[in-house]
Amino acid sequence: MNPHLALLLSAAYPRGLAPEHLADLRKSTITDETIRAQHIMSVPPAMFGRLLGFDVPDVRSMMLLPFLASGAGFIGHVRVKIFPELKGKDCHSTKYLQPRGSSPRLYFVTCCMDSVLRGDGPVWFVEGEKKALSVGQLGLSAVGFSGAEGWHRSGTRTLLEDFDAIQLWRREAELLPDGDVRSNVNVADAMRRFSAALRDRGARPRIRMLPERAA
Amino acid sequence: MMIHAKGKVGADDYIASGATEADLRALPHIGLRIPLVVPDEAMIGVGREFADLFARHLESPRAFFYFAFLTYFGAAISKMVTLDSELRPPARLYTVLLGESADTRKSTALKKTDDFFRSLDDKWAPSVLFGVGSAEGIAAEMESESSTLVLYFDELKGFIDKAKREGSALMPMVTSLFDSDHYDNRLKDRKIRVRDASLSLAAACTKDTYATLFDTQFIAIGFINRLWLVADQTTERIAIPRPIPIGDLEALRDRVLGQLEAIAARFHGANNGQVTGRVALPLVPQARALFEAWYADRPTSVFGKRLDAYAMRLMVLLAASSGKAEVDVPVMEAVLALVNYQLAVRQENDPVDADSAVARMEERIRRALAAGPLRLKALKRTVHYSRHGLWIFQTALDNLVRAEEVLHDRKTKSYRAAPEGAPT
Repeated sequence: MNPHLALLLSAAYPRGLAPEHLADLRKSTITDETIRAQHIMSVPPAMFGRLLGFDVPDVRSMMLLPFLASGAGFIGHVRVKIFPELKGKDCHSTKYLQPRGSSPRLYFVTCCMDSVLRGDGPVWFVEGEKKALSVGQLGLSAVGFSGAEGWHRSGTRTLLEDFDAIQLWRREAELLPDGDVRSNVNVADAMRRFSAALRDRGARPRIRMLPERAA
Repeated sequence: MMIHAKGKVGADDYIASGATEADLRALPHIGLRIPLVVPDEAMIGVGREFADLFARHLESPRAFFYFAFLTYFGAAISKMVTLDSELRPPARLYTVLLGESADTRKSTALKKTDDFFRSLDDKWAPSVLFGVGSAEGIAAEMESESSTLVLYFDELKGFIDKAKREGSALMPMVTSLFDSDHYDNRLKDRKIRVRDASLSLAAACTKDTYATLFDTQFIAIGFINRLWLVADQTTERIAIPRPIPIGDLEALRDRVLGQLEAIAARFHGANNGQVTGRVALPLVPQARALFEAWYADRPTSVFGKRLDAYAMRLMVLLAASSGKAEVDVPVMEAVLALVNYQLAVRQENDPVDADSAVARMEERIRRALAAGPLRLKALKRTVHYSRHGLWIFQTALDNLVRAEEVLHDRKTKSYRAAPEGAPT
């Protein structure tokens, strides 16, 4: 594990949240209890580059979303939400960063980890970490994946190793991507492949559709 | 519910707008064209053994063998066993194997199943009519050969085309004999009279043909919802199938014969050889409760019609083919998995009711895009454009784009259904 990440996750480190980060979490309905349980925290500016392995001069602040291991403790995966979001030349915006070359991982939610790993009721695969927390808080067995392609390693179409810890055989798997699955062919294709990969593991996937646009 | 979000809506936006757990559970879901397959746990009993053995050696999907077997097995036992219900449902099926194309080996599954049942004891060899042209033909066959009959169509279109002929009583007769064991039709110059009939149907069809096969009269009379559709895909590639080992085949024959003889023994009375009437299989209370829960919440759409009737038939078939004297929980779980699967297959393969080729293509495009956006190449493949011609496809697509029912994304070269409420 990155030693800087290890320091942030250690009991010795006094975790805190900048008002901007707390407001962002509140917007996603995340409660204090969930914030504590997931160890979500603001990252000191001096650690931005050390966590990611590259400098991010245009980033004002950074919120760390630690990834729980399916057993106990945390894994060494680094994923942060950045403020403000970065705009690319093609107007594509980047809200989250992780070290270059690192593969995506599943984001487990403390309050429903047991039911996700060992239950036999429907498991909800939710696009986005905060969104998974939000769904988990409602009492559903939720686990997050980071973006439409965040369920597999680059260059393969098989599920991440993290899925091995989840009982999938004959289990209903509810996929909850963002609403643009209705309009974005890349997202739709990714969900088709995700569903097929889950079906290959004996799960019964269904893709749930959120409304496409905000009111 | 007002959702406040910038850009696309995520689960957190939806929940922040007041959505509850129940709202999430009620979100619509789409198949996104995941190939439908029969749930593994729904294949039980000796039918599963048959499907497993034949699908190991041949390219046809296991589900095709499974339902072809159940159709023949049901025909063999339909006069001997029923459900302990006032409705007395028969164990007969009108099965149609649906494949993406001719490559799905639908006919192989039908032929091998027919061969297998013919290889059983003469007593159990089915009476099969390979193609029929008229209601009179069925009536004559039932009178001269056997009132228990399997109609066998390598291509369902052959049957439907004959049934479409003006004045033909074929469709009303076959439709009527699904629910009933008798049929009368008095014509000006002749009378068709069938009694104590037990009619089953085993047919194959491509999805593409099935979608455009029926006209309004078939839909109005309810013929389509009397069909049990089996959609599956070939995944195996076996260039030269090896013969099924004789030992495996004989062991399976013994198992099937054993079950048929056991049912016959109960029907005839175990000791005195007297016919005792159809054996009525009871439901254990837990199985009944499972069905009652499904029934209370059963789909009420057009796709759900007669699913309850099929559920009862399958209870009899799956219990009998599992060698059980009652409908227990595992049988009921398999039955409910199958009727839920059937609902999905019907939704995906709803025949198009449109008059012109372009209108039919427009409807196919609408359905394809209802399952999410597609790039042009994928859209063409999904609607099998080459079978209808490029002009029909392009005209239909242009019509839909002009009517703003379909939106074109030039950046990704994809098409998608316009959101509900969009101007048309």
